Amino acid sequence: MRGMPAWAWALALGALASSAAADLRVDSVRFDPALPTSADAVSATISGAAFKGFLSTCELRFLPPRLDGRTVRIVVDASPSTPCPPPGPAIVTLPLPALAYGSYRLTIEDGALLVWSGSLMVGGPGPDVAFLNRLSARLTWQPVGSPTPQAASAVTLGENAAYFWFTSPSNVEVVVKVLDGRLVNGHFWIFVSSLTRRAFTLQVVGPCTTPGCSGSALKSYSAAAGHNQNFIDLNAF
Amino acid sequence: MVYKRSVLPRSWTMSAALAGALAAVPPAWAQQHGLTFDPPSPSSDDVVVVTVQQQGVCRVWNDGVQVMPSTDAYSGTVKFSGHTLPGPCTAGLAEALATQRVVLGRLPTSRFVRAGFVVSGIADGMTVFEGGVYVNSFPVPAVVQLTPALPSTVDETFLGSIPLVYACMASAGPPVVSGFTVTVPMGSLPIDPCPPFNGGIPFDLGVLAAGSYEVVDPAGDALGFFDVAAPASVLSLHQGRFGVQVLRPSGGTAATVALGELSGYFWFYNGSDIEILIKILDRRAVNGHFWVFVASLTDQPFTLTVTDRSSCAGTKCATRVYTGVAGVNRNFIDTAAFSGGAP
Repeated sequence: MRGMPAWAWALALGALASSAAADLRVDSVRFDPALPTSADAVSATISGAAFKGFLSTCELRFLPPRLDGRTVRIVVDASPSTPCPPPGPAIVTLPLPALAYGSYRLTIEDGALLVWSGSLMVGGPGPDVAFLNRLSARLTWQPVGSPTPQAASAVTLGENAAYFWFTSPSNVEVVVKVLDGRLVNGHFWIFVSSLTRRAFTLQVVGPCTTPGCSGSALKSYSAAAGHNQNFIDLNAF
Repeated sequence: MVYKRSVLPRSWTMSAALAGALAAVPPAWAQQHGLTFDPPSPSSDDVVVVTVQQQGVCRVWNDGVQVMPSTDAYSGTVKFSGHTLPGPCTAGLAEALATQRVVLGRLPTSRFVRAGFVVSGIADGMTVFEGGVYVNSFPVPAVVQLTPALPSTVDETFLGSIPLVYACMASAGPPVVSGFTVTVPMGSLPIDPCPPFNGGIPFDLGVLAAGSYEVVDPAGDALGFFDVAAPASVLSLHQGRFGVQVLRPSGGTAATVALGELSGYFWFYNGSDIEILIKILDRRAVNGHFWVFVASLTDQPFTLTVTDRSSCAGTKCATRVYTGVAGVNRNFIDTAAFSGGAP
């Protein structure tokens, strides 16, 4: 090896780096929040393990994620680092670049290797209405010291459920579920469960079912400040 | 890319004006003259740039751009102008002018529909370049609505809505799943105002394998992406520090879906029927503890266990257990749940 030219060293090190690259394992990638909007700061938490040689640390280390068209690319930081301690599972959280409305691919690359790929959907900013079955739900909450109620942001979890948040998209405050119980008792069933002691009012608009009434009807569910209160309404609409 | 044929919906009935305009421009002719659009399949939000390539001539293409959206909503025209430089056209000058980029700007479209624009380069009173580009009325790929929104391989997954342009196509059939591709058929005519997609009834995609899916139109253009995860019974929160598990009433563990690092939910029988939601907040700066909030949407019995993995010594870990009894809908707020570690 003595007298080996610099370019040969570079090639040898490159080959070692390439072989080490295959030893990165990504078990999962989680986004926070999992269902973000374009107004949210989004992070990705990567769980996995690195089993690298002396060229790199055993920690999972990544360059800052970057947006390339509709792909968020996360690239392993392959720069040489301290000698490797015993390898093991690792968790790294990375802030993602600002994302506009739309669907994105997310890739994790180690050199030329695609280690992991997945998808992320980013909704439009600030929806405050959740559409559930044939009903729509809107929630206002009362900030401490403020006389004016504020609209909570809604995140839809599917046709049947949604949650609302007040100040942080990662901090779920109220969850609402609507089941179609018409086959059982002729009504939609509404379940409201609270993770807060703040005052809130949930308003649900649905089809009017009382005799002589046509069009829409409104149901309200209000929780007082200082109380953690749920609502179950099996005769809602 | 000139006349990107793949972006032309095969079943799309074009307006007579657009059809006539496009028919007048043989794609091979346009490609020969090297008009290239960036991005190749833009949305109405994109600034479109066209690259012109010419050989042996000394034309400059900086005399202005005129965008004319059509009143029929499906087509428009763009004209960019240039002129031939006076004096001798040397080989060096012609080479320097061989490739030029012209900013066309944003190309407006009507609501919901994808519009075709005929793009012409006019110099010295004659049309030198002619090409075409389709502009989507939304940024693609867009967001598709799923039930459940974060499906796993044990869920029957429903496609609730897709980008509006397709919701406005008549007689769209059910999507076809093949591998990790979901193809959405289209009808023949755009409709305005837009009717609810499939009458508002979500399409049943069935139970999907784990992986990353692409929703595409019949031409293969991406409409959106979504993931289907393997089912999980342990919810990891706060970068894995806490593990949460729920024993459901019929025995066994409930399935769980993470909503981020602080919260997640559990379901018992149906992935679309959320039963319990948990969030754990780091309030150590307030009272030295993490705070656990459990919200129940059920009156069925359950046992929820939170394990602090950072506290484990051998097989022993600090845990908190919250039990819901049958017939009672009850939440839990525990502001003295776990401590330890730097806030």
